[in-house]
Amino acid sequence: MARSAQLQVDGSSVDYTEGDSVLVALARSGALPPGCLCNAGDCPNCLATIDGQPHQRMCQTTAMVGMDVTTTPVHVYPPLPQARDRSETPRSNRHTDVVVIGGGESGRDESTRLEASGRSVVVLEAREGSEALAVYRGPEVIARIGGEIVRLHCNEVVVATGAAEIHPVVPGADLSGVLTPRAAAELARAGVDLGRVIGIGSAPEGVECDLVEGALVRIEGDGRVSTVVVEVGGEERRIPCDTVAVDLGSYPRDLLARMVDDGSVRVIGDASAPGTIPACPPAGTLCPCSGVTVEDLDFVWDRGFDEIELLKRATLAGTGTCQGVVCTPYLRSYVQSRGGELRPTFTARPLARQLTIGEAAAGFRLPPIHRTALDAVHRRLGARMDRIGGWFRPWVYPDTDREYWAVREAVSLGDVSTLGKLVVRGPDAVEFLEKLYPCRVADIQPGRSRYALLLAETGGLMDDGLISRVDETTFNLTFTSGGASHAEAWVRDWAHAFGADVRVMDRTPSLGAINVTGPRATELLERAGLDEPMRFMQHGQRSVGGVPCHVYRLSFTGETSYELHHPLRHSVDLWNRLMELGADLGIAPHGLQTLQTLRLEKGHIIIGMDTEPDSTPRRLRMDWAVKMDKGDFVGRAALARTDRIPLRKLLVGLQIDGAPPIDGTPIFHQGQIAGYVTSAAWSPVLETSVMLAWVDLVGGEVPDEVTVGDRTARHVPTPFYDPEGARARA
Amino acid sequence: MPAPEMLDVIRVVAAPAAIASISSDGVVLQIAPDEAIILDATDVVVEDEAAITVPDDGFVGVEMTRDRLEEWCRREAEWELPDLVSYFTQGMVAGLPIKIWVNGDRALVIGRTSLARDLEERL
Repeated sequence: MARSAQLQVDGSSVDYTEGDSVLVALARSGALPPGCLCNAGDCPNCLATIDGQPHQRMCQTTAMVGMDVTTTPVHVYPPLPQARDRSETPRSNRHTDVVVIGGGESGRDESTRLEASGRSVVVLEAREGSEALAVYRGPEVIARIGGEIVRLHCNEVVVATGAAEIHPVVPGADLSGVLTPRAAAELARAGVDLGRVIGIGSAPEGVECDLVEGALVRIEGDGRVSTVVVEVGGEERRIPCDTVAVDLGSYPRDLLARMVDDGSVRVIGDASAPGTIPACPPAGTLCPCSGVTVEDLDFVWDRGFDEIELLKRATLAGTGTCQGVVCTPYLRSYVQSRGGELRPTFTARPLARQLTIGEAAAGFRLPPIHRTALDAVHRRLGARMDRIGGWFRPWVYPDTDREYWAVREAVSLGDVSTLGKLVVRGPDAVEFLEKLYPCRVADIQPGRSRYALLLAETGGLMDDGLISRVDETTFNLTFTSGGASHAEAWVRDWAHAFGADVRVMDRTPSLGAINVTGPRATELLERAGLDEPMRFMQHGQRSVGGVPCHVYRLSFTGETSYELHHPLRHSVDLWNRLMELGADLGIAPHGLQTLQTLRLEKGHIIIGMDTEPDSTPRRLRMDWAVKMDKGDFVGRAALARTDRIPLRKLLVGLQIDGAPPIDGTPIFHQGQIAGYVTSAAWSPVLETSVMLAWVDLVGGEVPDEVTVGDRTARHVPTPFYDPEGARARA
Repeated sequence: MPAPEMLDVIRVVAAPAAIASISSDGVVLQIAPDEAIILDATDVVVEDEAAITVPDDGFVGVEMTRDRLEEWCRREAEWELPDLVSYFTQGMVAGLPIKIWVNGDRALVIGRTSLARDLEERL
């Protein structure tokens, strides 16, 4: 036996019986919402805020005990939720052969047929708590099922959503007591007392009513319907009533079917029928969601918005709660009545139903940011971490003065685990790398490294790093942190394109790397057990602090530097051991902000920051890294061609008194714009600001002085600091 | 759910034919035509002179029941797990690149060491 309970509607208690929708409960209490009701979820006329959630259709919501319902006045947008719901909406995925949207007669028949043929089927029926929200290519159906957002991955979608009944557009259609025939039948069946019912067009099934002939002219009443006026034989006839059920035909509910046009969606039943185009009313509100009237349409029509898509954009008709279900037949009849062309129905954009931000975000995951094995160590040291190149990296620790002078005068550690690290091995390794890089590779001896540029086919600089030869057929390559993943794909693609017999392994996320840098770096590493410290641009396997490392002697900071590449499991121990051993040497870690200053003092570029896509080595004054006489390599043809073009600008070093300008500051020469600053920093050791900048040439030369902001900057050679590189080689 | 732990992995990049015929006392999981990771191996033989064979700390793993794995993937994976007693598969789960090795009722979820924290949070 059905149980009775109460819910709250606009502050009053309303009885309901188990299984009732909120609308049925409300109607049974004698309070039908104003406006024509469809009781099918098609129109916006029974919207309410239910338990704090706006845009809920009362006819589609099952009444629950204690439910708090605030009805939304007709032609008014529901209020925004006042309380922030921070709970996470669950999301899941399901896989099935077919999704049938619509559990009516045709949908049920189709699912039975499909299941009989051995296919798995999921049927979505809004009234049973599973509502389709959108269809995407795949196909994929997004549904709301029992408070969860479900992504249904399938091979076919069958849309069996039936047809929506057309609402009347006449004066008085927004009174309470106006129903579609189906709504009248269902409400009567649910025991709602409709009073005296007048049927226009047809008699609602199972409803005791008077069917009247004639065209509907208007509906009269004070809040609730009291009289319906029809025209018969040129004369108006007034009929007293409590409810009027208006049958104007139906229009297919094919919104979901129009979201994908790749053949994976099939429409059946009434949803595939052509639908009725009603007569265009002379006046009145066609789109109840956005409150668009015939007069509004006339206004924009007269200004050239003469097809449905344009009418929609100009008036917002069809973009509201019901997504055009109510107004589309009228928009078409309007266009037809004005002599416009009726084009095929347009592609529909998801969504078909309102959803909350929480539902839209259900299951969404932000792209992850990689962490080095030293991440927790940096945070413990007070580092401010930043997301750079897909990694969390220490930006400052946060004493940049201390960091800087540790590098320039003592010793410092930097976490460079994020650098790209590739191993290339195989009988064709030398030949392959010769074709890949613009520098010579064959003459790199085992145990030696060479700085190398990586060029695109256009000759533009793509990345840079080291080529380190391990043995005759094995090379370790390094790349920038931000360019690592692209460089890996680049190397693999070219290996494949050249048909090179090589193996390529990306070790970027598998190896930790610590840069030990500063004039006392060698002393520190000797304390840590490094015997036979290598010379500049040498590398090899060594034990440091008891950890097996591949040690590279190089320099990005301008000081003696060793990169210790090591198994990740030893990163923390190795870092801590070095910090401990270097305590009396003045050791301090340095972050990326300090590294920016250090590298700028040396005039080292950062790809993407100081370069542009067309930055060739010549424009960067790095021709020394290119051997045009060595045979073909990626980018060579472009370099040969562009080398014949006169240079118009160069990346140069500038010095300026006072604080550094911000990156990107425009540069002027003789009142004309002449370039911009790519990187700038205050140099503590030089006690001036230094910068790299693109500067236009004048008569083939870089001007001696240019204007940056309102100050004069001087062109100076780079490196700004230790131009002979004596410190790095010490 | 236990935290992901670094796995003992031998990583091999070699010619595809050599990858397909790796001989080892560990669990060989082929992750690409030219690449495999081998779990808990003491002995690995690869028939390719140019093969790159190295111990690799780049992978972490979490063991769980097959039911737990399936429940996780139902929420977090847009692709379907194979309906097999034992299998190895890989793809995006919870926005992370994941490898899954299932053997009977047990499953091992393998992720990147650099994303171990995200894996722990998203399990």
